[in-house]
Amino acid sequence: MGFMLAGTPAARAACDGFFDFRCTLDDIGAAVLDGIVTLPGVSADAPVAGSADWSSTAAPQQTASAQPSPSAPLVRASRIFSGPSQYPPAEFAAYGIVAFPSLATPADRARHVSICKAYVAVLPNASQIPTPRSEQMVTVWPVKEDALGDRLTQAAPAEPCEAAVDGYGQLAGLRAIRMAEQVGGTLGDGSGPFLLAWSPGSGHGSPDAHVLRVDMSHVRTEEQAKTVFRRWTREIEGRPELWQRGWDLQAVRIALQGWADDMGARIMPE
Amino acid sequence: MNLLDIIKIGGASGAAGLLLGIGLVTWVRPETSRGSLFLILVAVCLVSLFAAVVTLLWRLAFRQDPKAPPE
Repeated sequence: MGFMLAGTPAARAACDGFFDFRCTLDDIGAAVLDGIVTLPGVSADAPVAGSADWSSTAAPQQTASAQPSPSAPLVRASRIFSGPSQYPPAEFAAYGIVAFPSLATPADRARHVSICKAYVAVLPNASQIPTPRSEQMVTVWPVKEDALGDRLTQAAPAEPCEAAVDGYGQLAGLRAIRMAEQVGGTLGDGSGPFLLAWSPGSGHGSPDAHVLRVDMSHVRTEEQAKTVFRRWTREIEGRPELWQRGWDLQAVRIALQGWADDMGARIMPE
Repeated sequence: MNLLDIIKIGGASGAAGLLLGIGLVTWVRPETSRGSLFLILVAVCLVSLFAAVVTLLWRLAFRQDPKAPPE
C-alpha cells in the first residue's frame, strides 16, 4: 500500500515519508545492510522516500509546514473501493493502491478475502470519518466497475470483501505494478498484494518519481494483514518528523514471523 | 580432529543453536508451530555452520606440522 500525494503543499507536508516492507529474508538483509536509502535530489519541498524492509521510512525533512496544527484531525487514513473512472481519486490529499498481480483463484481466494477483511477492518470508510477528504490519505481497493465501487464503499464493514475480491480491478492493479516497475525495478514474482506509492504523488507515472513499495506476499493470515495495515495507518497518521528511519526491530520481527510461517508451511506440509 | 572433537563441537554448537532458536521463537512469535520449528531449525543450522567454519579456519591458521618435533 502506498500513497500518492495529491500535490498540495499541506498534503505533501503531512505525508512526506513512506515506509516499505518487503517481507522476504533477502530484503531483510538488504534493509539491514542498506539502512535507509537516501534519495538524491530531493528538496525539502519534495518528499523523500526511504526503502527498506517493513519499517523503512523516509528521512523526513524538517520543515515548518510539517508540523501538524493543534487542531489537526486525528484520523486521516481511510479507504474506498474505486471503479476505473474513479481512480485516482482527485479529492483526497493522498492516495494509495492495493495492487494484486493476479486475480483470485479458488486456491488463493480465501487469502485475498482475508487481506480485504483486514483492509476493511483497519481502515475506516472515507465517508464515515469527520476529516475533510482534502486531508485524508485514502487507500484504494480498485474494482471493475464504478457502480460496484460506490456500492462496496457504502456497504457495512462485514459485507464488501467477497464482492471486492470477485470484482477486483485487475487493470488498475496491473497498471500500478507496471508503473512501479518502470521506475523502481521488478517487484518480483511474489503473490502480492503490492502496496505502491509514488513520491511525490504528482510524480505518479514519471520515470523520475520515487516508487515506494510494500510487498505483502508473505502475509498469510488476516491477523498478519491487520498488523500490516495497522502499522501503515499509524505511520501515515504520525507526525512525519517522528517517522522512523531505516529498519527497526519490530519490523524485522514481523517480517521474520511471516517468513518463518510461510517457509515452515512449505517445508513441513501437513 | 577426532570423533570426540567433532562431538564436542557439534554438541556445543547444536545446543547454542537450540538456545538461539528458542530465543528467536520467543521474540518472533510465529503463528504456527511449523513456523516455530522452522525457525529453530534455521538457528541450529546457522550456528552449526558458523562453528564449522570457525573450527576449520582455526585449524588452518594454527595447524601443527606433523613433522615438527614436539615442543
